Amino acid sequence: MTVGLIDPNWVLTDLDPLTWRHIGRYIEPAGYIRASQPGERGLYILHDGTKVCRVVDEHFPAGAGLTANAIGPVHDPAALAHELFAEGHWDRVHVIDKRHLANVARDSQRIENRVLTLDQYYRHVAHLIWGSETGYVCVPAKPPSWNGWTYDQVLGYVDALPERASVALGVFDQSVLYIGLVIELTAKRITRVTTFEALKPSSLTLDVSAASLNAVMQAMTHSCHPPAAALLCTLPEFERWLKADDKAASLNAAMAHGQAIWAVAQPGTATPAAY
Amino acid sequence: MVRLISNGLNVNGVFVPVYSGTVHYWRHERALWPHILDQCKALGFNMIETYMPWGIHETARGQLDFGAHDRRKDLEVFIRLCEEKGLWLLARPGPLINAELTDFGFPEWVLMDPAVQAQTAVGSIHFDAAWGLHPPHQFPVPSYASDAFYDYVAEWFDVICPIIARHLPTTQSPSGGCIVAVQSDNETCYLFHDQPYATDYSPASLALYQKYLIEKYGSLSAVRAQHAQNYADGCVIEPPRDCELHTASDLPRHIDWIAYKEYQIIYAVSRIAHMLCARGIEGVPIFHDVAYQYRTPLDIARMEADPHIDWVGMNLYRNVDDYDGLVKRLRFLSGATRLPFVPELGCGLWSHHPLTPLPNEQAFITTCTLMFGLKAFNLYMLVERERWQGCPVKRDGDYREDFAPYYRRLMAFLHDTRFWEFRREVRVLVLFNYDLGRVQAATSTLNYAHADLLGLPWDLFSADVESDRLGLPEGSLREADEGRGNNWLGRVWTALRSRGIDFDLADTHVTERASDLGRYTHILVQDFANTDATDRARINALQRSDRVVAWGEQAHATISTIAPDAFHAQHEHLDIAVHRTGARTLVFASNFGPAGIQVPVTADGAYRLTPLFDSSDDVTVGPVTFSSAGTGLLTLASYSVQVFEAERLQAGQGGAM
Repeated sequence: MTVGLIDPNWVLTDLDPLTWRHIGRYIEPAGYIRASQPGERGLYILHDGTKVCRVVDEHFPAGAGLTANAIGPVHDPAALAHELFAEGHWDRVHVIDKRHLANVARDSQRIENRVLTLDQYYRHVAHLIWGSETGYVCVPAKPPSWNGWTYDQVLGYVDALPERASVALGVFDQSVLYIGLVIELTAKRITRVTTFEALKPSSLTLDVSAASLNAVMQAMTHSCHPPAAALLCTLPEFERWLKADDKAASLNAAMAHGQAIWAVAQPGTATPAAY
Repeated sequence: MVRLISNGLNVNGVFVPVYSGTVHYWRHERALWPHILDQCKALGFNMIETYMPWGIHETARGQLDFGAHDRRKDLEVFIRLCEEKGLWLLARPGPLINAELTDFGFPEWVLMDPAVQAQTAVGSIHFDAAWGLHPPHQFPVPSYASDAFYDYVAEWFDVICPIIARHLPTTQSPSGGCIVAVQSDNETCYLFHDQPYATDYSPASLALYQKYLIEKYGSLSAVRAQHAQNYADGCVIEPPRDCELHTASDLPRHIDWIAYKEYQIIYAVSRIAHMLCARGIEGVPIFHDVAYQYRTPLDIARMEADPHIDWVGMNLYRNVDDYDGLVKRLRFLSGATRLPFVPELGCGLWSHHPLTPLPNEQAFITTCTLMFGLKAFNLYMLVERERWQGCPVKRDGDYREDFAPYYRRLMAFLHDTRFWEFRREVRVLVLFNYDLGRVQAATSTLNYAHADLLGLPWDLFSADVESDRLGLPEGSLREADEGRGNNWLGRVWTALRSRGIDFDLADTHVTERASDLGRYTHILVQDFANTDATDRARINALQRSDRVVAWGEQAHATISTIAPDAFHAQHEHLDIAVHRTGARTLVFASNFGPAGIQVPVTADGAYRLTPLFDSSDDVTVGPVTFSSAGTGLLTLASYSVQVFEAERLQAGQGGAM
């Protein structure tokens, strides 16, 4: 088992409200666990192993959609989901065994799970929900990751960091700092989260430039654990990078157009080199 | 002695408005305390609020730190500093405090005691989690039915209460005593898992449930008869663990469990309030803050009627996209409580929330609360701190330049106008049916932890039950669903608004003690065949020669007979409220839409409206004159509230529009 990413007593201070407004949507665990995606019209069938308990049809108006009686007993959830999805009315068909969700609640809320960090806990909940072949079936299946980002990738990245490290992300909407985030890690665990506000990088107006990158890195050196990486980019490139299949290629292209710049510490060196 | 009055507090004979903001002493360097408090005063605040967190002070069982090890924890020095600076203080000693603290401020050894832990319907402990990254560690939720829990709380209160008691205005403190009210627990509601079948099925809770039922019905045999169950003598009465409604005879057992869940909350808040009183917290109001709910399992009218609880408020964290939710809660506080109070009025936001408000959004929301009748508030937080952002004062005491100016202007407006002397002019009280809400709750299902992470449609969380199967009039369950705009409440709301009539809300448990019912000329009541007979009789007794009580569909005919308010308009994004004191009149106008508007407004005569306050910026517009025909034109920026002083013009003074 890994050490877990989130220190239960992590410190979050000097949180610039704009940065926090803009990153808020990324820190909702539900967004990574659920199958249904925003804007989808789904068909939801809740059953108890045989009998259908409830049907919610988001395609047809209330009263005109599928009913429990029309569906009948649920003997093979996967076959039912595929059969209904093939009708072409819904973006996703969900067949959910109520007993499965009860088991998830029971198994996740064991006192032994108190020792898990919060990220490990949510990871465990997600595993319980999606680890069963028949408990929660949906067609199409739940995307395996959020825009190609996986928990294991994040753990792998963190694992490669020094014992004490900080990383920074600066995103600019035109000339305005849209996100200015700094994360400090101690022994591979996030112990402090703050924003560029805490760095107070003199009166320099930041932008996507080598001078700004150096200013941020220097400020991190003074105010945080040794900087391990920093990325400055424009908002369009940031959004493109989040969704890109090839993350590295996306950033490289942005850098080539002066829309991104970053620095990564080489193992054994104190000062990250700018790219 | 501190007395609660309808617009604030009376402290030893002196009126004190409750305009407060939160400062967490233990989260700031002690050397910064004087500067921070001075900055709060300079913004116009004469009252602040703080939690007194159990788990922060008692770091290991029996090991208490009030500044000996960590100077930031010297509570008594902080209180004395408030007294020296002339600041009143609202004290919130818990035991639950949240405050975005890991474990919500509970000591870990309390939470880990199995005798303390709540249990879910599926037999597990109940973890508080699934709230994003806050708190940053899942913890076992305590059962508020557990005597072991109260034994631990008593130990904490034995320590904290003497400190508080030394600083009550009733004591002969050299500095006068600044603590004017004390809160009993915080947002008591099963740690937000307040669906009826989610929790608390712990042995202690089931024992309390049994006691509750025996007291209610007088004997086990009477319970058997009501529940149509053959409970054996000496057995544990098993409550429903999911919606198991098949016939009408199933309903009483479900409703009793739901009523018990309401009872357990009031029992807990009352018991904790009593524990405070028993340790010298006397002569000041004991209050409680409801998180956001005004339906089961929260019964605000009955909580305020409890002899140990003086005052109940409701916390409010809304943004512009939920203007309706904000207005509904303010109407409710105005109609249902003794002193409309928001103990936590969102000022900034906790750090996991997806959307931190912008300064103009915060200004709009805050001004709207006053428009709809708020008389007492505590800004949570006035001063930023760890795990919270977007406040007027940063944690080093400096002002946050985008956020502070509004609060400085607001406080000046409140004090300059003596806003506490004004009262919103409302003639209509709308009562939604509390019993109907219980029936809807009874049909709840899928109350399992983490089901809320799955983005499932809301309808999936209610069982497929037809009203007639339960012996209820057809459509009762649809009527109970507050989310449907076409039920009675939605239609009455629309009718009143379209007719230009402001109104308050309460529920069928409303009492004369909680609400000043004398100000209403019309009381409109949501009807339901299963309405408690005592409640129905009490409401009918409110009918007088000068007051109409109209049930159900009669309400619509009644609305058509009510004259519009003194100022009213027809616009989908404009609301108007009138506040008066003596000869003075304030007119609030809110534009809750995303675009600026210019709207003709009708008044009951000729007026000059002089702008006093604008939520979005300094007042820059001139007076607005209403013609002798009572027409004028208001111009409002998007998401803004303007406040005018209205002066009635004599004949011939009214200008043309």
